[in-house]
Amino acid sequence: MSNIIEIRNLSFEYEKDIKVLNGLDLSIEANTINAILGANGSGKSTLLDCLIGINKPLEGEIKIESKRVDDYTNREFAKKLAYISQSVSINIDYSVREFILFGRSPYLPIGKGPEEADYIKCNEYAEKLGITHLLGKSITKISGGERQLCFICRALVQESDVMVFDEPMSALDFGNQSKLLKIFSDLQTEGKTIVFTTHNPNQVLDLNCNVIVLDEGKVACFGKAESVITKELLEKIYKRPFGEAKKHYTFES
Amino acid sequence: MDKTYRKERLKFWLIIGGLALGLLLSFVLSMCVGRYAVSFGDTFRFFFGQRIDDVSFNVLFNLRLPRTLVAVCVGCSLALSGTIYQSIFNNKLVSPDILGVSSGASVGACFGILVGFSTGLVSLFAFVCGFITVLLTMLISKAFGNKSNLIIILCGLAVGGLMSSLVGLMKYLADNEMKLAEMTFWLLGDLSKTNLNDFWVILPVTAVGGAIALILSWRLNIVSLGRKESKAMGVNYNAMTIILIVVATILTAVSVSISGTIGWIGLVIPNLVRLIVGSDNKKVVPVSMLFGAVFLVLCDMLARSIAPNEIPLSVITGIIGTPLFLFSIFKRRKDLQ
Repeated sequence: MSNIIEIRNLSFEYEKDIKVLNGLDLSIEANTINAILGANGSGKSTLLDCLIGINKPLEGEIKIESKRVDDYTNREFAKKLAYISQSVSINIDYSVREFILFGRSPYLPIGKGPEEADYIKCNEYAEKLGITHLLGKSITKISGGERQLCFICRALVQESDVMVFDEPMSALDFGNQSKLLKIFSDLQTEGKTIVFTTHNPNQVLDLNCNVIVLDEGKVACFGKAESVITKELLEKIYKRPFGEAKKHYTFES
Repeated sequence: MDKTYRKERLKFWLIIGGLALGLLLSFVLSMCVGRYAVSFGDTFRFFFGQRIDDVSFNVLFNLRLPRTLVAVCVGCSLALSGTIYQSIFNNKLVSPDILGVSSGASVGACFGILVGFSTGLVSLFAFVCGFITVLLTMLISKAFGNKSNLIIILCGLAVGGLMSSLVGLMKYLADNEMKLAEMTFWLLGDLSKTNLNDFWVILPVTAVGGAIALILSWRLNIVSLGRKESKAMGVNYNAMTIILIVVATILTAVSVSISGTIGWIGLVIPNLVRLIVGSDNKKVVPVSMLFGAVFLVLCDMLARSIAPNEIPLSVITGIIGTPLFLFSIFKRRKDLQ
């Protein structure tokens, strides 16, 4: 399989001489699910911000489908990669439908708003996520978990080849986390590449996807979750002793 | 077929149609009402080029027509500029003066009045100073390495505060009673001195600014979510922000230079419009433009007809705008808790 994302020797710093990413190399194959794991401050969100071109690297380069990130136009890039960030402050109360339709932006010429076909697409994906009852509500008046689902729906409506999520499950209840993992699997079946950050190694093990472990601004390990995630690794990156789980519940697939 | 899409579209066009009709009616009413009343019949004959008595013709052609046309453009421009600023700064409490344009223009106008410039030169000076003030705000925030809109807003507050102090200084220096009165009247908004030349100055600005805002209106929604979200959805945040701030600033600066500072329109109208059509700027931008025009035409009509002497416009817009603003707060009180 070909690599859809290639990152070579990536370094980034917010303050002079304090490198958050330090010569990071990473290749992600197309049509895979990839979880980024790491302690707080290990550079997960910074890496994603570099990937979408918000952070300009100090050194190194990032390519998507063999083309440098900077060489894409904004709209071309958004068709290639959809990104959902960790937190967005919204003070203007767009309806959930209006908010999800923003995801159609890369496909709409300047001067045009969403047409009927875009509304139909929005309804389809909202149904898939079970949020059709929210469509008429204000995005500022729903719960954090519901809002998270709306963000995810917006990324689905964007229909990009690569979908990048920064902690997509942080505000979701156990049922919705499980639903999202199932959606990730479905998207992979449809040929999409998923990259997401998480703080929960158990979710990654349930999904048995690729795992990228970040430590000290570099990729510490990369591989299938079952072979990479070990008690020793978790103790090393989180600097805490770990025991085996007494009970572990998962939803039936 | 999507029912919501069709229902929303129908509602939008009904509102636009209703407001266009409202604008037409308020325009005609504004032509008729004033200290010298002109009948509807004479007003219609005037519009269709038929002969009417000389006094009515002079009142309509030289006084009310330019004044009402300018009121349409100023109302439209200020409401549009408020909508743009509120969206860019993701804050519904922002008014067009957020970057100091009105207070800067006030300094220019007061200086012009103080040194005895002609009315045209006062307007030009007001425009130049308004624009320079916004540039100053942007340059200072740039020097602070601004990464967030909050820094721009805070710099705007600081520069605006300085400009208000300079206005205070000009008023202090204006020992001549006439000049002080002229400054005070200008600072409260006044359309009584407008003529057709003012209309020909503001019309292209409103038309071009309005066209740009309408074209970019849907993308303005995405810009309101910030730099990162805009990038994620393929919108060039920097270019869009610069274009829209320049458009909103020019609209405000030209309006203020012609009519003086008129408060409330840029703050109240977009908030009221959001209560009616929702927050999608594709709808809010055109509806605000029409609503702002109707609002100012009616306020101006009241300003020159409810008392023997003309009442400054900001007094009227404040008296009407305050309850409307409180109403919009009341409707959204749950969001604010």
